[in-house]
Amino acid sequence: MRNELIKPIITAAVLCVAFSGCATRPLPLYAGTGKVDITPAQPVISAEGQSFRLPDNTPPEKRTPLGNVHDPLYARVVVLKNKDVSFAIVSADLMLFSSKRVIDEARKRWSIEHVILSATHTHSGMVPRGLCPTAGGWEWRSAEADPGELLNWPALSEDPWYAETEDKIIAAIGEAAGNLFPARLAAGKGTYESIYLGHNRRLIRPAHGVVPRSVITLWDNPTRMPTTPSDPTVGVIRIEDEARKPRAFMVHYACHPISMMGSSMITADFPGAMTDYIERQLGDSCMAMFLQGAAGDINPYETNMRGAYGLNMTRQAGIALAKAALGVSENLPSPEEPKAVVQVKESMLDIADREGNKSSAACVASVVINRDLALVAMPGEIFVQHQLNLSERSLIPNTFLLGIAYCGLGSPFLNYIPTAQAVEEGGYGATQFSFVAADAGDRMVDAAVAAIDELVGE
Amino acid sequence: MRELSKNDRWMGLIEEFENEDFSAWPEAAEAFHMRGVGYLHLKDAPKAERDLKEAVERDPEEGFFWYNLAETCHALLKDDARALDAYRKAFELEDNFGWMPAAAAVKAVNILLYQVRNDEALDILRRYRDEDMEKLPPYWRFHILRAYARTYAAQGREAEARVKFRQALIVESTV
Repeated sequence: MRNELIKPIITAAVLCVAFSGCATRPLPLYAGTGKVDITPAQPVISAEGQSFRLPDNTPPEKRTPLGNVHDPLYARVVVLKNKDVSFAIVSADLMLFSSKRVIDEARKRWSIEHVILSATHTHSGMVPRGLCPTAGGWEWRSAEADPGELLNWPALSEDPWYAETEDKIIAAIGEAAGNLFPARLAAGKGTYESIYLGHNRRLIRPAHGVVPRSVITLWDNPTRMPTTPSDPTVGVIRIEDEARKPRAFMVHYACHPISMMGSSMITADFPGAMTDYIERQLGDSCMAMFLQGAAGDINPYETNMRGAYGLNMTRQAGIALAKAALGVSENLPSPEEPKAVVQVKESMLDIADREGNKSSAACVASVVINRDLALVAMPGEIFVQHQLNLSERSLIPNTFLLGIAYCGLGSPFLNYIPTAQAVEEGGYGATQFSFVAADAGDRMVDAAVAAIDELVGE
Repeated sequence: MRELSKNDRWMGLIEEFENEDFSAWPEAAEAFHMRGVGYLHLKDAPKAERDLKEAVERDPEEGFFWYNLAETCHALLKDDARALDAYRKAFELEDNFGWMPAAAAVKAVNILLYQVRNDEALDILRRYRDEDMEKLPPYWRFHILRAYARTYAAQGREAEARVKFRQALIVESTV
């Protein structure tokens, strides 16, 4: 009976395509920035430290105390616009954030055609109620249809904080779109071996005698043992105004912000410390932004820290990342002219679930700027090997994969997107809290590579 | 009593000497210390503290007495302030490269890092200069190197921390 209700699996590689930015000659480029405090007045998250937004009627003893807000949470916006294309990227200091309303309103009110909503994924931020499949809102396996379609978007806005956050982000996009300046955009990357961040949290133990091969997931690595796969790359996007003054500074790096997870503390974690340091270094007129990469299996070396020690180590991790990014930036020449070719392609894929008896639409959004920078947004916690594969296969030298990113189409969040090998090995993120087919990540990378090829005319 | 202590037979030691008044014993401080360690192992915080305090009062120059009092304060009484004072005392009294001052140093550093007293943590570690590291048993060399690395990391001295973490990994592979 149940099977009759399930729609046939659609295996087509790409279902539909949204495309903009046909010009191949550089056009005057304009950029704007917006930054808004989204710290909740009532931080209704569990006092046990889980990041899920609890109902408003949760008794006080079960809530994070007000005093546990260590540092403010922000949503940061960069709008890029030329004659052909308008595009906004939002980075929110939250565990997860997706909102159809924000994207629709940005289009309607500010004429922004494409929006990527990304979350830094701080686990000391929040998951909006009903958005995370593992938080009781909806769940892939028990869903009777595409979870992306079943998601009750209006119900999310019943949480006053979520609705207010949506409004604030819409306004911040408007602020950015309303204060455009001629922009020079430079992108680059460098290798950064952090002692704080970026180890692979899946420890694979080879077979030994009668003991079979095994995997230890969510493994802490206090001795800083080298792990693979990992991506010790820090990416930088620097946007300057006509006077060559930096106005936006984006840092791409892959690592779970879980330094203070479970502490019941509200904090933006290391991305917050990183942006704070960069803004202090580059001045108030420059907004820093963290772009979360494919951090599905990547952790800080020390996690779930507590108290002053944890906050200090988190701060040092952010500062160290900021310094590495500023170092990359030093070697980036300022572009001659405030012009750019900006191209965007949104590729829809139909992603089957692990059992192959239902599927969900997923959007991979690819933004290519000057054949030098590609941003690829995917709606899930992507294992880092996919980022490495994408970087290797992309024609664009600076190709940055954004995990936990939603572009307004398809499912807002597909949970973990492991590799086929990880699915075979099992463990958290691979066979737990991961519901997509084992080849889902490969297909998303294929779609991004194809999109980039198409955009650059290869 | 020494035999029971040497063989870690703490339950037997307590059973035999629980009601003993060591005051008149010629080596009373050592006796109080051994029984205090017995209570420490049996996780009897008040009695461990009572005997170990008696031991350090009778012989305040004995580093091991201070070390076990520190262990009691840290592990059983959860009193990091007193534990830190006692670890420091133990460390200062045993001016050598043996296991005890190394253990006291690592534990004191840990407490200091948790209180973000990073400079004080580094001060403790200064006894262990690069050229002296070989004097430490490998197990403690690993822990001292790691304590150095964590302290540098907490201070934001990433390059120095990286060097120490790598040295610690090399030593760990030999332990």
